Amino acid sequence: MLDILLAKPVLIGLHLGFAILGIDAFLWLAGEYAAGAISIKRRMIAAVLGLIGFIGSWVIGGYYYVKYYGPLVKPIIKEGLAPWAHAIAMEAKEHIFLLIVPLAITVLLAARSSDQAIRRPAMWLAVLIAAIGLSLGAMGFIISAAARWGIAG
Amino acid sequence: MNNFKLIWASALAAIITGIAVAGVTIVADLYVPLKDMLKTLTGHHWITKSLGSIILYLILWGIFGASVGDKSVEQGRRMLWSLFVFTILSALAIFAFYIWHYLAV
Repeated sequence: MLDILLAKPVLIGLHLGFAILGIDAFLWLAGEYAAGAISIKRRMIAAVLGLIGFIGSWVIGGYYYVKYYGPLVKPIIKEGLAPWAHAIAMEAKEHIFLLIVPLAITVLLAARSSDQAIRRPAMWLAVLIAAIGLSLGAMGFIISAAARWGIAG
Repeated sequence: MNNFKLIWASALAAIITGIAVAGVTIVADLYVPLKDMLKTLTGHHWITKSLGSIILYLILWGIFGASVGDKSVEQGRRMLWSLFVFTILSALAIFAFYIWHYLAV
């Protein structure tokens, strides 16, 4: 079972799946704010799910990055048709990701508050988390495509 | 501890952590001995940055939460907006640096 969970395609899938959970949960949270909903419970569920999603994506993606990406994928991309996919997209992705978890914890704390003054910045921070997550997802797609071109080239 | 103080302290800790991540990332790519030192600590520079960023955030959150008085909703609101701006700036700094670094090297 552990062999399957630690297989490279499964790790990539789990990394992406947890990231999608995080992105969708923070979009849900932003929607709660935008709709003027008053349920603290729903906001907290969304924020906790989002935080779990990004922590899961971080840990699983980090394991894949250190164990497989560096020794196996990075050399292929650097020798391929789009070496900038590692030099720009991967380097930016792996470091910008580090901004997300402190941001998500802060938004989770803000989700507990019903004060009207907190709602607007909390909503835009939730949108920002989702936007950063989507941007990193796009970079991940470019990196995967560059690895395929590297093999094809 | 009131909720606005928790929010304020967490947001300020996240701002400083974001600036530190961007700063260390950029300097380590320009000054190889720093990157080597980061690698020596855990076996991989990214693991050191990952653990370092979350530890720094939690320590700063604890310090700010314990060392300042209660915060008003307005102070909490302003710090959340500051976090919004500084997160964008930190992310753009990292992205712009790697574009520059690729084109320059």
